[in-house]
Amino acid sequence: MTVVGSLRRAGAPHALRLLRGDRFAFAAAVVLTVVVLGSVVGTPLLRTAAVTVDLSRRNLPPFEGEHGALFVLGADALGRSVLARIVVGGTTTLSIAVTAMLVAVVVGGLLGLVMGTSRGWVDLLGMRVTDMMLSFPTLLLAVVLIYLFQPSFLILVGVLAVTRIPAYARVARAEALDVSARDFVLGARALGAGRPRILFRHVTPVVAPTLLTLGAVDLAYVILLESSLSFLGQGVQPPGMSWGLLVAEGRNYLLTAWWLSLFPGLAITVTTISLNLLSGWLRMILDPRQRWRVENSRTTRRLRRAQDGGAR
Amino acid sequence: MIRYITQRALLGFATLIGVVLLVFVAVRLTGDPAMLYLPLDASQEARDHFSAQHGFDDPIPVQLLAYVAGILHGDFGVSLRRSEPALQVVLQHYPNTLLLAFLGLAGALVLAVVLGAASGAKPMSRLDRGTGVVSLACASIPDFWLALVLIFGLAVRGGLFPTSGTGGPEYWVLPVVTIMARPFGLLTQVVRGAMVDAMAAPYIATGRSKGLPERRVVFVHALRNAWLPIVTVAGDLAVSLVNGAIVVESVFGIPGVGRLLIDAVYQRDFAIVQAVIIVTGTTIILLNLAIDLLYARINPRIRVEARFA
Repeated sequence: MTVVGSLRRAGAPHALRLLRGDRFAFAAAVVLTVVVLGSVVGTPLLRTAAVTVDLSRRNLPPFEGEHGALFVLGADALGRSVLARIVVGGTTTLSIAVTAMLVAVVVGGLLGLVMGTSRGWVDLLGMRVTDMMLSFPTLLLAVVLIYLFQPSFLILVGVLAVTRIPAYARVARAEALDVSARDFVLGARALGAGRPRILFRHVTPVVAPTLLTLGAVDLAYVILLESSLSFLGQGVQPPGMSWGLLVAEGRNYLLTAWWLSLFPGLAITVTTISLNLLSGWLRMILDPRQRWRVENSRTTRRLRRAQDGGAR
Repeated sequence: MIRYITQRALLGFATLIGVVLLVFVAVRLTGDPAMLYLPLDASQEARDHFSAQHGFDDPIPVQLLAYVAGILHGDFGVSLRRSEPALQVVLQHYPNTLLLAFLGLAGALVLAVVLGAASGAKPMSRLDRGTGVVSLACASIPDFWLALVLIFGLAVRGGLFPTSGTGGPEYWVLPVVTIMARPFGLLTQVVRGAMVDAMAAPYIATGRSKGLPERRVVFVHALRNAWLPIVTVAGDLAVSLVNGAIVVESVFGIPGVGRLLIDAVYQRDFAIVQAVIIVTGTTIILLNLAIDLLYARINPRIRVEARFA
């Protein structure tokens, strides 16, 4: 894998230009920016509105102008703004998913590096254990782990990370095996570098970008997993908010107030579709065999021509 | 070949032992097992009595022996809520889950292979773009929400299907559609990718130049070589159908092991949770074994390797 090379070659401005060349990926990036900015900026502003009970607005339908922008998506059974709850719930969902993904990348990556650079029983045992965990349904594993430990933010992050760690460990191991056979590692070893030094100074920098790309691809899945857990009542607990929990709370009012379940679910769907689009695009530009597709697209060519013209 | 099968079977068996040990250790890791098996508000006397009765105060090796012996006899303990043997309860619920998973995977496979192959044969055509959008949406949509949208749109408003429960075939339509969505979306992308690769091979040009109908070239010649990645991914998806079953059975009120698991977790009925883990774990191991064999069957390279190994 030449991920590092192509990343370096791509460079940040070049990557942005490529992104503008792909309509779908660009739209996805815009949507994700809105979602992230909305959570970061909106959550402190809307935290009180999300829990303010007003029984006169009970199950207020959406898109009725006279109640103001806060109630544009309607209100729930206690008259709380659905919009505010989605923004605050999104922050919970996203922070749990991103933290879990990063923990899984770091822990799984380290385990994989150790497995890949040490021969013998450590490697063998690690492979068998990851095999075992990967052949087990993630949601089943997560539900059982949460049953054993009681849900809380940390446990939730830990459980989600544990279900993803084997996947990263396997990739990191395969990459580490590949990298440690290359000449620059042999050279370092010949110069007398010890194992930790080879591991962290020579192998890790090559493997890390691949793992992060995989993490980006995986993030949508972790979000879905967190939402499913919260929906089933095994994740975030009331009075906390998360997208999955909001859908579950609205489920009891499906007949009378459809908007309570519809909008939080729509938020999940839009976010995961965007993440999948963007990570698919990311994988494509990082794969030298597929890069011609984006680089040759009409819009990119036009953009480049315009930029070259401007420079001249 | 026999050596390959034995190797795989042993690996599966080791995995099963691992799962059983994991449950054993997990129960004791979290402190007092009586906490897990008994309701949260059980009295201290009841807990002590329970621990003594089930040997939780014996030394760990003695407990392990008793535990393994019990499992070998099919004894997973008694369900607290139902006062029936846990294994019996789980096996009663199992056919519904198997039917749901089977219908879901079969539907997803057929649809994904047809649509994926047709769109992979003509990249960037209108069909390909349409399929791309649909498969992306199917792979990204949360299944519990899709279930609610289908219930609201087609059952509540449309009145076409029952909202939940079990009965005739009409009760199975919405659950199967829901559980199919994600495997269908992921599989279609894999089939399409494999097809694009297969269509670039020289024998496709040969087939066309000797005047074979295009349908034959695509669905017979190219698809045959696209099968390997399809089988690999379908195996993973079959495992992840258990995830779908947990959600779909809970939403549609189907009495299967997924819903049983969630109910047991709510009611803190650990004997049932443990039996669900071991029964699904065993099925998955058998399934993986079957997939390995199928893989060896359709991939001549593995077959030969296995013969000479």
